[in-house]
Amino acid sequence: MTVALLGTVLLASPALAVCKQKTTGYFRLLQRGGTFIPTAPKGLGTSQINQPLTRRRGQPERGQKVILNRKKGNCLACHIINVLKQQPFHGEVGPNLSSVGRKYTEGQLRQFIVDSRVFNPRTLMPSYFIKTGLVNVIKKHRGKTILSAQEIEDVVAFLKTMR
Amino acid sequence: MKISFGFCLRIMFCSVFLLASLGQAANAQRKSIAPIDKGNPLPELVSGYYFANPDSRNLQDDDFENPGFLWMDVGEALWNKKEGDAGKACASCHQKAKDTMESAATSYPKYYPKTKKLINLEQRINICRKDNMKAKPFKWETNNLLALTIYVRNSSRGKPVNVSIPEEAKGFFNKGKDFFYLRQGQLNISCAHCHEGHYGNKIRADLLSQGHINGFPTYRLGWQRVGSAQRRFKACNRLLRAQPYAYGSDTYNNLELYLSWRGNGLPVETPSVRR
Ligand code: HEC
Ligand code: HEC
Repeated sequence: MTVALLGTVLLASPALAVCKQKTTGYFRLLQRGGTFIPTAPKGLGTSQINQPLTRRRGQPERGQKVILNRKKGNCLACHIINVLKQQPFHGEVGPNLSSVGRKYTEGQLRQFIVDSRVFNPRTLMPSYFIKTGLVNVIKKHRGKTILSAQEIEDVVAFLKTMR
Repeated sequence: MKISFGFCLRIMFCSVFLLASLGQAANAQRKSIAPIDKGNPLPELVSGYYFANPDSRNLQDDDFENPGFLWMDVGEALWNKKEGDAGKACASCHQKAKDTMESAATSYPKYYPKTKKLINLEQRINICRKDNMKAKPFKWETNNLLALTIYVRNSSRGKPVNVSIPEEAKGFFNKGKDFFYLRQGQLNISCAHCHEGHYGNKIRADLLSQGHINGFPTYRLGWQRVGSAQRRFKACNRLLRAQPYAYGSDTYNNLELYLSWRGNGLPVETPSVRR
């Protein structure tokens, strides 16, 4: 009841009008730490990037390295990935990625890494392949994406094996 | 000598009690208070203390073990030391910090009519040195400035943070708020993403807190020394791959006011201890 009520309030707010447009109806309200944040529902991505970003096919082994590298993907800061259990300190801020390969299409996975705001405009997940609309970027990283196109393909290839 | 059964029981009871109290910090019940100000977006206020790891909490709980107290001692000496051409010490005007500094400890940053901007506690201390003591101001983030700031804040340890937002400060307050919610840096996320939307969740090995500054300046084991709230802002800005701002910049003073306000009502815990 309260959730439904808050949901109505949230969805009525102007900031969320936009995301509602983009992802009509595909919101689940999650209570985390006492604050309501809308989250893209499992398995219901509404956008995909089906075209690979590079000609060279992604390789899971290279993808794993990118995911572990704290200066690159640093994905374990926020996600648990069961097969990488031997690595210390998996964060729990994002969902467990251990079966994302089953849940999402390749195109949806690519979209998540490139810019996951498409699924949830308020997401905490960094956009790994955008250059525009960034504010106050530190000099060293200005004008650059977090990952290269090839690195994204490699990460997607790894995620596809998470079944 | 006869040891009675009752005595044995008593010892057993005491040692259980002792063990329990030793373990207390490790399992500290997360205490929260209701926000005082209307418009505070947090449903509950929780001090960063309850998100810190048990080792840090144990250090913070013990004034003899807490490394921040090395700076307290320096601060106390500086408070009483005459410096500058006016031949005065802080104590010449303010007597005992315990009696006179409660408002300074709990209500900065504040609007300063002379510059029509906000000043934080460090800047207030330096204004006193310059104008009233005719002494040289301390440089940002030096041991001396941090020590005095800690000494002043600690004089009101346990008292609630209580910044106010008068009409003249509203503009600065709103800018601080905008900054808190601004997606920034190459990671393109805001302070609020971590400290409002995800507090209580683990990111890497850290439990995300609500990002309050009631315990600052804090002793950080990672820094091997104490640091101001603005030093933490810089660290979090860098984490986002965002350009950090300068100490005492308008941007950080505004943010400091906004963050203090978000924690209005939390007890001053200076010097806190963090990993
Ligand atoms: C700073 C935190 C953070 C980092 C770093 C991060 N993510 Fe995420 N990720 C999230 C959050 C939070 C979500 C939940 C989506 C939302 O907010 O709606 C998410 C969602 C996802 C999803 C969708 C999962 C599902 O079950 O819906 C995938 C796939 C994903 N992330 C992959 C990655 C990969 C791969 C990396 C590293 C290249 C990464 N993430 C780095 C926070 C992060
Ligand atoms: C990617 C996540 C993330 C973002 C975004 C972030 N921080 Fe933090 N912050 C942390 C972590 C991790 C810590 C250490 C654990 C804790 O105390 O929350 C921390 C600690 C803090 C603390 C110290 C709290 C205490 O009790 O010691 C403050 C203050 C703070 N952050 C302010 C900010 C500000 C201001 C911003 C925006 C410029 C920001 N943070 C953005 C992750 C983040």
